Amino acid sequence: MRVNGKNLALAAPTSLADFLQDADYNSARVVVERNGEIITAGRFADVQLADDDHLEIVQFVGGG
Amino acid sequence: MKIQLNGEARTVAAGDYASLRDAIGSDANALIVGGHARPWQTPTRDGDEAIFLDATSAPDARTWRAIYDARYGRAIMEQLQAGRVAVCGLGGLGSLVAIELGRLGVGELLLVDFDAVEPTNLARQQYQLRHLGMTKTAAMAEILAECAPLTRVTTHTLRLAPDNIAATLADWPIVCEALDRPDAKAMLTAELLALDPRPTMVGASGMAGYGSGNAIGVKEALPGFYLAGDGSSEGEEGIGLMAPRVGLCASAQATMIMRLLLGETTP
Repeated sequence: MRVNGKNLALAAPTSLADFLQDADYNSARVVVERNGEIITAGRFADVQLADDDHLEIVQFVGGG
Repeated sequence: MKIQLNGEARTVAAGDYASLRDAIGSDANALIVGGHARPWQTPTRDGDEAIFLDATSAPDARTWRAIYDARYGRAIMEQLQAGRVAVCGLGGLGSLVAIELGRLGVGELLLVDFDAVEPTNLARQQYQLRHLGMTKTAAMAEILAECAPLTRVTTHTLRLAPDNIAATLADWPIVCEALDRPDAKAMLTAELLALDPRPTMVGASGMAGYGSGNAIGVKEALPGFYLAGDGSSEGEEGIGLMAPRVGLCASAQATMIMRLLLGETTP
């Protein structure tokens, strides 16, 4: 799996929600694009990641 | 020689603008040539775009357009006037982005915010004392009416959420994300990028404190999603949002939007 341009081995099948938690992302503050498609937050738990997935994850900090 | 005077073609004799003013019996007190103020003794030159006006009162719409055309050229003005930009959030970022795009001459702005102006806002937002208690949408509409003569402004006083984003922002090809809470930023960005067709987005993350201004940049975080800021300086207890650095981030967003309107797609 590629995440933000880096290769990452997927040890076992995992949901996007679990992956974000394990990788220390704050799932309320991220935009996730998987294989070119935006995954809105309501679907994080439903999406099962595959070993050939390309993920782009952008995390926001507060202020504006 | 041939010049444009107040938007109209005119053939004039060689000389300076003072003599032209006298020759046509104008009582104008200010001269603008090529979009810049000039003294009356400036010689007329072939191809000049000149404007005679009363510098103490607001020009009419046609004169405003002539001022901008002379300054930036018709091609650029046409692209800017065709521009339609939604600004979501009218705080430290959005209030300045809207003013800069308005002064630039962007054709249409949609301004969205649910909040009212209160005293702590003045530390970094573009409001003034007379705006206290007004909705930010009403206050910005008033400000833009006073400084953005070529911009048509529409406002929505509401809090953006998944159930109103598509209806509010459909048909706005460029959306500026200028919210403050990180979960709202993520929500708005994801909901808009999931639309088909998706707008081009210019957002912001990380602008608090008084770290180096050089750390405030713009990158294309995802295709068609540009992100300004330093990516890490969070506005929270202890690290305040401070006017100069927030302004730098807002101006970086407005610069990116200007570039997009003028056909540039790289930060």
